[in-house]
Amino acid sequence: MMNNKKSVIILSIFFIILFSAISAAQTPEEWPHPEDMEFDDVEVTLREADKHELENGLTVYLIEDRELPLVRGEAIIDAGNIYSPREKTGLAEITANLLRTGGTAGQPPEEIDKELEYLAAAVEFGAQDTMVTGSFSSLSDNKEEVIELFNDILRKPDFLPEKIELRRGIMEESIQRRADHPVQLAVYEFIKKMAADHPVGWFPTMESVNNIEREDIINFHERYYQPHKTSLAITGDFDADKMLHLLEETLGTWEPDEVEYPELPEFDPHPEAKVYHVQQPIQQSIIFIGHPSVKFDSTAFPPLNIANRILGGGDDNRLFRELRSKRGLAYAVGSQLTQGFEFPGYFYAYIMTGAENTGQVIELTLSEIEKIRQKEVTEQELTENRQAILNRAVYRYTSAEEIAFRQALVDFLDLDQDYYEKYIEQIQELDTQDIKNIAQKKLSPEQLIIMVVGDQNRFDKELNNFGEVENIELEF
Amino acid sequence: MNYSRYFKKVILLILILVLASIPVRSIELREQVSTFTLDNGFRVIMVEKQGAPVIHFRLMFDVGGVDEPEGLGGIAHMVEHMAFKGTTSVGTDNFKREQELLEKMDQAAEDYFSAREEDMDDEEVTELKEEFTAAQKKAQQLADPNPLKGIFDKHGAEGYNAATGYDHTSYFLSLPANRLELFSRIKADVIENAVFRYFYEEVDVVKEERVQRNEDEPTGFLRENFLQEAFVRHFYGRPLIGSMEEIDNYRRQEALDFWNDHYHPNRAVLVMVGDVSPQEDIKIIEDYFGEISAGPEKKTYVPFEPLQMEERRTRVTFDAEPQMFIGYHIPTYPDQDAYVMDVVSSVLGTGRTSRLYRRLVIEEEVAANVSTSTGIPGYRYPNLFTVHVVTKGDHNPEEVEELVYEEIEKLKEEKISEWELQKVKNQVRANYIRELDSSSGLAYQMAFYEHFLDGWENMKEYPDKIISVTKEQIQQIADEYLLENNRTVAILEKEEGGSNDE
Repeated sequence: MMNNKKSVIILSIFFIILFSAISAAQTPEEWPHPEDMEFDDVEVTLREADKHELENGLTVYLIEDRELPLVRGEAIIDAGNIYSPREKTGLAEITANLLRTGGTAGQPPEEIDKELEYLAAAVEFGAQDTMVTGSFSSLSDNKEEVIELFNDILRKPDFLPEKIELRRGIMEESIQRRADHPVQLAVYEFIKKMAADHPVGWFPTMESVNNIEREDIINFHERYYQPHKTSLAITGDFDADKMLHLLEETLGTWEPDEVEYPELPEFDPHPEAKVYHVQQPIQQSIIFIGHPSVKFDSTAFPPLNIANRILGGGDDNRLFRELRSKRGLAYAVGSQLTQGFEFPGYFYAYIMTGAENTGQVIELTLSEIEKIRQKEVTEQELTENRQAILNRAVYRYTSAEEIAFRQALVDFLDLDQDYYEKYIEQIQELDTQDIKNIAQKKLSPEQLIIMVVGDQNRFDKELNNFGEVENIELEF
Repeated sequence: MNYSRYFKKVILLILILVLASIPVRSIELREQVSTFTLDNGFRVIMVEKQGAPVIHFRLMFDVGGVDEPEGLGGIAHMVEHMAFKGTTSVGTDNFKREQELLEKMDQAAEDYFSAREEDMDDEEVTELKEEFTAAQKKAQQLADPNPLKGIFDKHGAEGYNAATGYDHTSYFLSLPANRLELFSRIKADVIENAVFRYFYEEVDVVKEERVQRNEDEPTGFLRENFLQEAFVRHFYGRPLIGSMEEIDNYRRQEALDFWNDHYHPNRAVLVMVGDVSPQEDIKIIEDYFGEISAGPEKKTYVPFEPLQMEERRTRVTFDAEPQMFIGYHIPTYPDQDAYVMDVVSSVLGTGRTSRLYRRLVIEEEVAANVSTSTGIPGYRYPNLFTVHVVTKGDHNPEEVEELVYEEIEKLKEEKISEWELQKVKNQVRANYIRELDSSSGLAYQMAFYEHFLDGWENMKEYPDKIISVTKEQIQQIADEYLLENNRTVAILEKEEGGSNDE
């Protein structure tokens, strides 16, 4: 080893001398300029999952894909966080987690862990705002075994009291640590304000987690986990007929029950403009500026999406250029328009900058938002972003897993089957005037919420330059 | 025990036998692999993979943080940022004029920096700073700060980004398959003719990045301190992103020199996974990457880490709840011990049935999470086996630390069970297959093996190496490396007077 190293070092000295005479080259004249390079659209072979509805209403989406000896499944269940009562926020989350960790059909969780890990398989459940997702992954040799376990885990949870306490403790620990990570803290406080007390903006607190009882978990599972409220996408190395038979034998015996859903309040998409500040002794300010926006299937979404791409969401955008590339004010900067399916999505800009630039950065961001409202974007900006969206369509067909899951999701969310084609059609018809119009209509300065997590002793400008300031006292 | 339970046990037993008897070799890389080496040493590996007409590209150089000269910590990461700033032909309409302005700016920067260092009076420094800023503004006027992202975006690029490690630097993205020429045109040009425009603006960006990752973020902060303590001589102990002082003192020319010393076609491997047509694609690649010249095989002298003689400990305070890293020096691939350590790491820290997770999280409830790794800080040189613990409630790190050591001692005292060993082997085999399924994961592995482990084919040997590990080897390895005097412990505690103190 030593000798080897030495010889490498000597060799390198030789080469340095040899090559140091080379001077800076220039791009060969005959190379085309990248801006002038044109390519045909790529042809995509459309793939679709086979859709089957079991007698109990459970919908299954299957694609055989024999390239590797793997089978994967992902279920979507209508049992998300929004159904947790406020005083028990976290109930949907703890229920989903306990399916996997709280024992199943009399089998202790330790046994299940052993069985799955020995097979190098995985089953996991997790709750999001409007759905629970449950996934499994298995080598194809063990697919029967794993699907049987998945079925038991989903339908016959024991919710062992000591495992509920274990999970409660872990949730409490993560609540205690919320303020440790400044970005996470800012997102949490910002979403709470944007959702303005709607259930999508509720987060577990020490109190709400403490309020959850075993009975609540059992009832939540019985009430919302239903076969006709579940879609399951399975892809990989299997025979579709045999898979369907296996599913009928397992998940097919799940008896459906009527579900009574709680009445959810209207989502109020018109909060008041306000500045919120969380005092933290850190070097950077974490800044979020935004407000609730439109639903994904609204006709406003396509033009607004382009406007957002140009402003801060695309790979080459104005906020990135102005704040990062030209001024070096931030490493993380941009904007997002989230896809709101059951509720409106959010529009927001985000910037992490040195505390001493806080005011300057807020000003620049607001002025970029104002600019896209007042001035038409350039033809080039529009074309590039339109092309980007059209050329990316091809990735929709890269993996069987994604294709099947997307199909399941479209049905679960009750979107039009041709929602994407319609979206693309609309994208193609937009002109620069449309972008300006939608920006004027849907980016509303009078509703912008500004959230700043940072050390006010180091700010360059007082936050009250940007509106009424409310200081947030952290309480979890 | 009822009948169905018994039946399950039997099935399990059959599975054990089946899994154990499947020769790993039967799970070959089923995809077609083609490899090429151009005259200038540029290596290309193409993997045909079914699916949509897209290609995932990963261009990896065998240059990273360990290759940096003393005092220029983080420069590998800095030049990675600069490789997005265009070339002599992309990013400006008039490179000759831009070059003059850049040189003037370099001079103004030099004047300002030396004034700052020499402690000249404030007025003079301010004046020089203003001149420097004015020169920056002038150079800006002829240049696009972001000339590549828009082009790739328009053509449907996804995940266009780069990553710098201690061992290597990678540029990666996916594109519709017929855009190979666009990729080749731009990337070959960047290797040979990169222009470091908007350099000092980007220095400020990297300073913000450092604060975000390592100064305001507790885990990043602790990790940096941990590595500094664990490695006293080897460059794995330096902050990968550089210290604030180093970043603040970068000069454009130093960065360019580093680029010109290292980033050449003979130091690169390009892996393409997806809808490739090897015989046609290589012609396009040759038209561009074949046109750029080879550079020096400049290998860096990286000092050996001396044998650790006693435990090292460091404590840092931060406005955050406690966490802890424990690390032991271990050998790296292809040393057989490194594969045995992978098994040890898995037995201790992978999954809910792993020993540390069971003991700390489930049984004693003293931790919210625990994880282990054999990949920190890199793999090119002997590295660390690490245990990372996030404590829970009032349990302090020292208390949890003792439990970690108890579990490590158990490994030495008694052989692990047949079940545990087989479980780990089954998982390694399955993970290997899952890796093949992910274009980006596969591309990374192949590029890494090609650069550092004597060829991408050796990646296929990995499951075999793990399967050959014995219970005795696990005991031996624990005895040899998991020792107090080979250990570094870094603990993050909440500041005195922090909000949770009583």
